Amino acid sequence: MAQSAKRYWNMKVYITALMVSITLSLLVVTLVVSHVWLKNFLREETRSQLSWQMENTKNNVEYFVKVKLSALKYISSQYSSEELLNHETLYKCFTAFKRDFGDVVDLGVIDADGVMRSYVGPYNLSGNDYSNHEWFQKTVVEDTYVSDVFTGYRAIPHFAIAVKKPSPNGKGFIVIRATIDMATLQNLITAVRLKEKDDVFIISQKGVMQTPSRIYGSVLGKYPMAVPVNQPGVNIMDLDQPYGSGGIRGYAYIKNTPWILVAVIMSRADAIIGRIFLKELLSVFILSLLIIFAATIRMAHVMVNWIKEADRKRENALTEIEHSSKLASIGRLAAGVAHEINNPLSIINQNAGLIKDILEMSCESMNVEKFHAFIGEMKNKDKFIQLSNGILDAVNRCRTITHRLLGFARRMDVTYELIDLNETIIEVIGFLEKETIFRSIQLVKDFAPNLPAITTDKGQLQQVLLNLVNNAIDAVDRGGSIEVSTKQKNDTTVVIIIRDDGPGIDPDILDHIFEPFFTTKERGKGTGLGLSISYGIIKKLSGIINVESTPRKGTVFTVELPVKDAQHYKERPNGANYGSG
Amino acid sequence: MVQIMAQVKVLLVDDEKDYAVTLKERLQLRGYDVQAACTVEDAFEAADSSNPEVILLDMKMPGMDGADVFNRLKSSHPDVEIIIVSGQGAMNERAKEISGRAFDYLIKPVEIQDVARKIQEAWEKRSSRLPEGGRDAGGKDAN
Repeated sequence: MAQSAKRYWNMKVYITALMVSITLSLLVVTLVVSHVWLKNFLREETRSQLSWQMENTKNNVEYFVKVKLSALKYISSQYSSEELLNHETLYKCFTAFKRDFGDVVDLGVIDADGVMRSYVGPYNLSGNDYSNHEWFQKTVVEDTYVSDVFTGYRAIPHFAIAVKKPSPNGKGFIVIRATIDMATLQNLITAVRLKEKDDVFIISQKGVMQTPSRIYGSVLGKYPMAVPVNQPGVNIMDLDQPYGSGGIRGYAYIKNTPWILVAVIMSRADAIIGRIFLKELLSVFILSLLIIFAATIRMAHVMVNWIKEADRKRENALTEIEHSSKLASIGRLAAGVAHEINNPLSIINQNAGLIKDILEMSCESMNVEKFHAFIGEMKNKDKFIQLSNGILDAVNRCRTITHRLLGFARRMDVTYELIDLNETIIEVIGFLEKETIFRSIQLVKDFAPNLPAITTDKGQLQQVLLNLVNNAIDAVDRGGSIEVSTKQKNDTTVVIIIRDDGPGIDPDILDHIFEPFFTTKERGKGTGLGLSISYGIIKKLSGIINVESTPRKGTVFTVELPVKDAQHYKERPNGANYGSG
Repeated sequence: MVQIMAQVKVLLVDDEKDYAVTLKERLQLRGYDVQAACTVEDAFEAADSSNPEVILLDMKMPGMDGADVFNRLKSSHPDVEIIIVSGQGAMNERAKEISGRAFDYLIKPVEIQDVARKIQEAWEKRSSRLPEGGRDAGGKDAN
């Protein structure tokens, strides 16, 4: 009982473990997939966001520069060179410029020789020579120019926007220049939303830092990476090591300027995933785990209870079937036993009747003379002794039969005992020997001598043997033969072999003969339960029952039994009823 | 007791020798001409040699099915009346098959009066069925 409880417990644990592991693994797969998906999504999102922000910033810078350039062009077209060289006019222009567009630091006019001829601004730059400055030379060549950031005379990083204004006579020119602080440029690009580790800055096409960078150092330093190739729009690429995997770098050439907007996003987009998972999913995860556990344990409990119930029902059904099978075999025995007992009863009847006849006849008047001699011949001591012995013999025969029957009936209860296998078989055969004689069946007994006494349930074993031998008798024809033999297989196992030379069993049928309700006998002749019950009993006795059959040659049933039923010693089988026999 | 009557020829077939012999003696005491056979072979031999009028046949004989014995006796001796004696209450299919052609059947253990009466009835039936000449001498003054 304890064993079956443990079995159900194990079943419960097993089902729970199985279900939990299945659901857990599904949950984990879902988590991993969603993690990967979210990570990719966030990265894509970061990329597109960066791209969008950079595009905006790039446009802003472009617009910023364009507006300043337009203003300068406007000034250049609206005023003559003379007017512009006039400090008053230039001051007016500068205040208007500053009022309308802001951000400009100063405004200056440089003549064709590169000398600052007129200047409005916070620095004293009048008379400075710019002829060697790159921006001046470029402006001369290109008419309008936006310079790199440089420190120049004032030692503050700034850049210049310059417009060349040719003289109306075609000879000579002046250059109108406005400068803007690098800080203004930097402010423009801070529109790109940054996180702690991220960086956005501008480099020149020559690879010089135009605004300070968190990663690559201060302004006018060297940009350590290769200057990207000019491609329209915003380009985003994965950041190479050692700047961290998962990071991205974006760059965009700013039109009409020598600048490239660069953004480095080091903060991993998926860093927030952990937080999301921890914050929001963990509780959901734990909750679902709890639900899964609770549901699974409940389900396992219900399922195991079903199994338990089914087992119990099956056991009950089997017990019932076994019982009815016992009744059936008793019924079969009864017919044989009736015949066996009726014969000695008849002898007793006739012998006693004859004694009575003789005595009565002697008392009567013997009116027929010719019988007198006959009576006289019979009426002696020897005759009576002979008749009495006949009666006693018959009584003995009856007693043998009734005792055997009682023994058999008693052993219908489950009880283990030490038995002599050969004797047990002889007892069983004793019931059936008469039938074999009547049908001229040769019953060969080939018992191994010195078989060890085995511990088993004698009654149940006899039921099986009775069934097997009965089947053999049914199978063979008149004049056939049945051989019952025993042998020792090894130290722990003995074997009973029941061989008949009947028609054999069809190979198709052979696989099914131990199944319940399978019968080849006519309707009403067999329950189809004998062999299945025999199978069940032998299994219960820790034995093995096997069948081999060759069509037209015969069938061999082999029953192997343990000398000591291990199961019996470990734990007594369910329903074992000890000591009631 | 019993009137000693005409010598009805009876053949007892039963494998229980004690039973057969005692029953034979008891029937003899009652005036029947009885022979006993304990094997199938003896039964056929006795039937052939003494030509019985009534046979008491045990259906369970070693070596041959009772129905087969019945059929053989009936075919070699069509006039004989056979009373079946069985140790089993229930008859098998073959026994039922032939029981219609038997005069009657008795279940062991049998009472001597019943046996004697059945034999008498069987003999009377046989006598009424057969012409006078077919009967054995001595059987005439029965009743």
